[in-house]
Amino acid sequence: MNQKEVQFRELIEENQNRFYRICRVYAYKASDLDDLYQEVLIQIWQSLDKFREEAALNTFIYRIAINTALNFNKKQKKNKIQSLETIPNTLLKTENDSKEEISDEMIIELYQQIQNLKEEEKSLILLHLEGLSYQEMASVTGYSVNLVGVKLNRIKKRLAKKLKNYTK
Amino acid sequence: MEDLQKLWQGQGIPQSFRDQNSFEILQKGLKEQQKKVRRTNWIATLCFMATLLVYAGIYYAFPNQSIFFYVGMLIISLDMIIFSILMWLGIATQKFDASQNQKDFAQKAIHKLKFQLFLNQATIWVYGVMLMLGLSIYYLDFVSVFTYWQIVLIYGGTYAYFILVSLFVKKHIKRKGNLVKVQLSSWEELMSSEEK
Repeated sequence: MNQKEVQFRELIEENQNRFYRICRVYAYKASDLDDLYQEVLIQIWQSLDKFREEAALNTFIYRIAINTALNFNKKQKKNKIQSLETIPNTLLKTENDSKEEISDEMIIELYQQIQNLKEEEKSLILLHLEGLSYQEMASVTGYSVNLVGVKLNRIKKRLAKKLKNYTK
Repeated sequence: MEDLQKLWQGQGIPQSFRDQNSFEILQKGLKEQQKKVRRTNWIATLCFMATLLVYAGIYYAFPNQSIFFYVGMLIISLDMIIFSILMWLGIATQKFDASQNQKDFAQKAIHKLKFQLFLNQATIWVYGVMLMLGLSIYYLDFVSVFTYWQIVLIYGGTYAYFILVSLFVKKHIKRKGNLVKVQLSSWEELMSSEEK
């Protein structure tokens, strides 16, 4: 096993949950989820050398995953139109779903609401939910920190309205 | 929103997703990608080499032909070379660097798609016109021995054939172009929303 392979395996293992969440947000069909994940892995592998030069792992991972997902979806545009709701919810079920049914329901609703957002709104709210700072979000998206703040506030308000049944 | 963040980050992932071997998935994907690139490179190289060989062969096999013969053949050969380059460019434009920020990435994607649209719409017609021009000049080498109506038939038949092929190709180009336009408008929408 060479050094690049070790680094790749470690990076994927440590961030698998993040990759799943990103792919799940951008995939519109169950088969898309696997294809998109494979594409993200390829892009991560091909960009690993660049990562060695970069300091922030957070922004590196999200840049690659979100850009790859955007590119993937532009190519699959027709699939989106045909099958917005076809990912079975079983794909969302986690190991502890029996204990926390309400949370799972909310997560499913959250995924659906995020999928209905515009592309740039989708990436901003995703980055926010993932816990990135405004500075990091600006680095991933290329927007100014102020613009990130303004846009994010708008999206959060809209999302809160849509999810008010769950947040009460 | 903080609760949502906690809930989001705390969600588990399906066992089936966790169990898969990411490195094997990567290797499979890379293999498929390399296979596609290798196939295109081979086809483009073969087209290129075959064209050069055929042209060189014709030049030596028919040493005392008129200028029309050689010019016609040269234009047809150049056309084949253009075809090889276009094929290679089509694959080259599919590569992308995902490590940039979203804005730069979108800008590059727009440039690439515009280039693809140009390749798709403009160059295929240039290819057709060049081929027709090459053949028309090549015919001048031998048509002088034919009657007026025979010449009309040779040229008319060739042009009619090109028109039929063009009509067929036009549908395909339009369909492909529409797909590229959908992608393009989607990226442009992403860029334009920044100002809103």
